Amino acid sequence: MGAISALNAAQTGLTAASLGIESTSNNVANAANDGYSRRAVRTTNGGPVSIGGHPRGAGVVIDRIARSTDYFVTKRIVDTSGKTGEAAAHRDALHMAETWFSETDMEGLTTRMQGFYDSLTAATSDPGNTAVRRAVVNSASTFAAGISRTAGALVDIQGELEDRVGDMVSQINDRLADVADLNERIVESGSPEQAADLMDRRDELVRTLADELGAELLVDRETGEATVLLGGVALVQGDHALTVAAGQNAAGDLTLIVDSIGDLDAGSQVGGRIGGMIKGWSDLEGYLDELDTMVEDLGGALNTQHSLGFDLNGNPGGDILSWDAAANHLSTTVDVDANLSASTLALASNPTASLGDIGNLQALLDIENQQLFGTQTGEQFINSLVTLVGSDVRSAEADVEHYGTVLADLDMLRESISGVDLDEEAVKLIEYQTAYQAAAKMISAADTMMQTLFQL
Amino acid sequence: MRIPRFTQSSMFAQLQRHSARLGNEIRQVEMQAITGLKYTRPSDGPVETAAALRLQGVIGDQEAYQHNTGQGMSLLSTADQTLSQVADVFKRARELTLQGASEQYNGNDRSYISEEVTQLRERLLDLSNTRLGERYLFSGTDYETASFDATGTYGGSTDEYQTQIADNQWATLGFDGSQVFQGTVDAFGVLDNLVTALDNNDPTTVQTLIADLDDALQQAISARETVGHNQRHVEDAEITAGNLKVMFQTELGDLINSDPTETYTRLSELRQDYAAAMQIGATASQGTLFSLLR
Repeated sequence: MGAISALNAAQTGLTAASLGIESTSNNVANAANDGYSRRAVRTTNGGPVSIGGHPRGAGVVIDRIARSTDYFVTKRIVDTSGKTGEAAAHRDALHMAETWFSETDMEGLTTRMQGFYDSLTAATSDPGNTAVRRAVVNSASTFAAGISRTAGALVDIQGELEDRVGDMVSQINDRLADVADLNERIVESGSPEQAADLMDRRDELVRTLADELGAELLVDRETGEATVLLGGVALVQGDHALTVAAGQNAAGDLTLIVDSIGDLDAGSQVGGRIGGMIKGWSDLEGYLDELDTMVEDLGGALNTQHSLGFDLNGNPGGDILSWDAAANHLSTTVDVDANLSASTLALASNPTASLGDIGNLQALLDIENQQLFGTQTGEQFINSLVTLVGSDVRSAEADVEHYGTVLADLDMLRESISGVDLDEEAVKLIEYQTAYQAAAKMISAADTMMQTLFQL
Repeated sequence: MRIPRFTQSSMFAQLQRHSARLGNEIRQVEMQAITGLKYTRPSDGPVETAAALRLQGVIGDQEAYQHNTGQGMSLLSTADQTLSQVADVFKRARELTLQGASEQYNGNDRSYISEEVTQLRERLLDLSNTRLGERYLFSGTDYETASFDATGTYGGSTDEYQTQIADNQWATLGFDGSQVFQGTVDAFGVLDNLVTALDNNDPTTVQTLIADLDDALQQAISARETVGHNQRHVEDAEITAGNLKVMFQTELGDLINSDPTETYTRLSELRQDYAAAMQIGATASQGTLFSLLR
């Protein structure tokens, strides 16, 4: 009886050590796998079993293969991933726009507007000179081209953001479906411990969704099922997943539309990279509105004044700048008026004026210092816009730095809980290997004892 | 007590993060070294960018004013020399008038004097139609039209032509000839009358024209003073524009230019830090306990 008990006990030890080695091997294989949570074999002693009134041990019982994870750390990582993704995408969108407001790589709007006024100032010294008048027309054209080029670039960037959102949406829908499928399989497995690999994959998918969408995670601790929320809307619940699409709301702003729910409030409900891109799209829309205002108010003032003057032939002036008022963003269409030339430039204040009559030229120059934009002149308005773009980028970069640091710290915390330490695994390997060898020796010893009995 | 765990993944993640941050900073400083500018994008310094744009605008203004004052100085200098010669015409005419009014001269003498006065009159016409390039100096805003015809009739504009030389400051570059030559007394008329009186051998009338000649001379001197006033105005504006331009360019340079010594020192520091981080990472990745197991 003793030999058989010993044999059974040794066999449980062999099994436990073998499982320990297998678990260690799995940990080592997944050491570089970002979403992996290390496993550990949990055992308890079997028994006691009473034999002849004496309590006897029954070897080792494998309790479970535990998955080292912390739900609250995981949840915080998911939340912060959303904010990090949003900040990064927002910054990237603004970086693209900022290029078009730079004054160092190219002639910016401020330089071009200043060039136009400087050409008018120079014209006061020789208003009848064709070359000088042509320089005024050319500088107006350069200024208009700068506005339309910048506005056009911003519209192109918005289009790029819309395309990126659209591309991401199809991947997101696949991931939502995968999460729902994993939920079903986790529940079918019976308990979260039985589905450790599935839960690792599911958590990693949710983290990716958080980075892309700003999704939030809720987990049923008993069943292991996850609910993926976006702005209070359950995109995944149980084994059911909704689909999302990119689109525009009633105001024409870019947003996400959830199947059977409708469009979301992009500002408060959508996060992650998509939220960041939508935020960037909205900021660019604001910049475009400012450029439109500048064209209408400054261009309007210049045109009105120019029409009060007379050209070299005594004809009243037309427009200096022209644009399509019906366009979605009129600043993309602004150009110097087709009829404006050196001879039709209306610098005089009288129709029968002599060449040196610069009455209207003086009035055009006065516009430079007029507060056409509240308390701001045209130059101040553009400078404010350039400063705003720079400040927005700076602020977005600060957000990236901040959330990036927080996420890095959370990842470190997760690693300290769930990560694989190769040195630790090496020690465990030695431990299990020794235990396996000892258990094998015990089996051998029990076998020898039984052979002795058989030979009696 | 729970001992905090630090895995190989954590270590590599930290190394990656720090080397990315260092790499980013190195790229920014390299851009400063290449461009010589502290701020290449608005986000590098939004407040500084706004200040730089304002300074660039003011510098552009001063350059435009310098262009105008340069041209103005040429015109005014020419006008000043012309009016000096006009004054000389009337000084000579007065000398001749005194001679012509004297009883010592006879009709023959007066006819010779008349010929010289006629030449002075032609000289006056040429001076009144002085041009710089295609621009008549004494035609007002109508500066491509001749100021006077042979009869002494004014053909220009009575509006004076001005150019901007500073903020809210304008200087006259084209003068109203009808004022310069005919404001107080008709300069041509006086000489015409003198020729007539000399041809008529009328010393009495010649004598009465001395006062008109004095008025014409004073008229030219006054006009020259007005030109001189504008010249001083333009000179001052030119000097001011030059000084302001230098001052604002210096201020702009201080604001946006990077200090080469600082930049290269910082770049060296960062590169050393980066190399050290890579070295530490390489050392740390060289082995775990597994590499020691048989």
